[in-house]
Amino acid sequence: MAETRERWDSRGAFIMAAIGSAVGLGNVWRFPYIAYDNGGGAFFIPYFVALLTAGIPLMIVEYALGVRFQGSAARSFRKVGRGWEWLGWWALMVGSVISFYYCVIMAWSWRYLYDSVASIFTGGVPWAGDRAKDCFYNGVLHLSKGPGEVGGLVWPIVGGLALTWLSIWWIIHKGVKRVGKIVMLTVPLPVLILVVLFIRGVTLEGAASGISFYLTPDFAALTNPRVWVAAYGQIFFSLSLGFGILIAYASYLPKRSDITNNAFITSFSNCLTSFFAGFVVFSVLGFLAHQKGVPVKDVLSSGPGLAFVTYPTAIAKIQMGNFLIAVVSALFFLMLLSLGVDSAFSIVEGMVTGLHDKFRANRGVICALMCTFGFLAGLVFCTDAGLYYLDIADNWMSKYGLALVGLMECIVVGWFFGSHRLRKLFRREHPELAEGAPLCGPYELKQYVNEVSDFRVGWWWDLCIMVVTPGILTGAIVLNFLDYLKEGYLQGPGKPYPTWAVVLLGWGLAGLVVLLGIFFMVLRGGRDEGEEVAS
Amino acid sequence: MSLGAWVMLAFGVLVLVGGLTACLVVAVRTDRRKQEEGVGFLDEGDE
Repeated sequence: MAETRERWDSRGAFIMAAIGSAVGLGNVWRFPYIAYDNGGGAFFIPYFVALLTAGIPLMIVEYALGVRFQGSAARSFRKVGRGWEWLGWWALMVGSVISFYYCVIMAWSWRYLYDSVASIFTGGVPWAGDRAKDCFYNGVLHLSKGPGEVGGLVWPIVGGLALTWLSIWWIIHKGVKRVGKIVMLTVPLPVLILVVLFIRGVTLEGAASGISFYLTPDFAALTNPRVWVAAYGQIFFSLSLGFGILIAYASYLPKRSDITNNAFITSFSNCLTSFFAGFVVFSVLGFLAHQKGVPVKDVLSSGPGLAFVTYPTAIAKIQMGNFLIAVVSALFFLMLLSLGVDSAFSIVEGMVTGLHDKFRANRGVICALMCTFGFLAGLVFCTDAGLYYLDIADNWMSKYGLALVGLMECIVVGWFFGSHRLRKLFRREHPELAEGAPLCGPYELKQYVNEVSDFRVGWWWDLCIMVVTPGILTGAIVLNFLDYLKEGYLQGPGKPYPTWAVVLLGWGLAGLVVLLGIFFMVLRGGRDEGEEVAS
Repeated sequence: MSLGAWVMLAFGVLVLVGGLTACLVVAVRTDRRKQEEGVGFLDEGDE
């Protein structure tokens, strides 16, 4: 008897989970800086073009694969063509590696949340008075001089990591019904906190100059191809594409659920959060610049530097008493945690769905094993040299791993989809649609998408999947590789990382996930009822 | 803020808020129509 697949409680639960997965730390700490660095307000033009020509089309592909084939990324690609299963596993492996270090960043946030709350009783946050840099790199991370000095484990971060993985296990081990309930809290909560921080931010002195800095357009930047590559990169990385997450989430939707409108809602919500986060960040940066008497560009930062150094510094400078500084700081780090947790558990859910679909083992056991392994793998990033390892792994996983997976998805769906076996399956289930269908290309998937969705996609979708998105992703990968050949990967200005670190944690890890993808493909799985239909 | 900054602010709000609102309206209307036809979320094709 065929196993009944678990279902989301409602369409809203699915959309909220997908938004939770897409909206993460990058929306707050990456987008505002990328926007400023690539033409300010003018960046919105390539950003929206990228959203419509790459982000949404590729999200439709991932939703369509999940809804159509009712399986994880690996299982869906296996059904596209038996030889493509490795691509699904590759996506899941890349995502898993990212989750290992993403959870470490959340561990830092736990530590800062603890320090913020504790400061109510100790009389002030430890990063007050321009000590944030020292507090982060020395006090919290115990950062060594280079990747060669591993040092020991930083125990408070290990504790935070354990808490993060326990949370992930608790949320996902019961299946997507519990996930659907949790995201009703973890998706609106950071948005509410962003609104509170926005109100506090725009009422500060100097906020207007910061926001003006963020929005003032430099239209000359639009002639620079790198600005366009940055826009496509930001869209691609911030929508959770290429992880296999969205395929897994969509696989828990009924078979004739909407696809296109869900993709539009998820994408617009994600980009709106990024756009709004820019005001929160730049209003406070404007205040900080005003306090220091320097131009806004002198206090700019992105990534962990923004979240754990610049922003806390600015909060600590607001004249509102230690208690309120502690509250605002705690709210900020709670926002980071709630932003991060649904992205983190969605990545793990993608892998758990993959393993469950393949091996038919108990879901709770798979979850426990995956979370334990994730915790153990993440320990390497909790050492004194952890930040260096995280930086290298993140660069290779995002710039090469995710981008290559996305490129391959476009090629497989755009150019190889429509094999003889799949057409037979398609015609058996929907003879009325397959009548007169072209013999290859993404057309069959498009017909399916249009049949089940609130509104239809047309020729533009084929063009984006077959030409635009793969073209831009290829361009981005080549540009990144040329930059690497020119100057290596830099630890600091003019100082490249040692070769062994780049080979081991960069190229080595990127290669290992491909090999693991192939290994999982050849492993013999449990009985897959989908195979009977397809053969 | 400069005029250019205001224009880009309006552009961003128009595209994102307008786009999201339009999609949500379509989703709500479609779901309401399906409900009136007696098709629930879990009835959508789980044959």
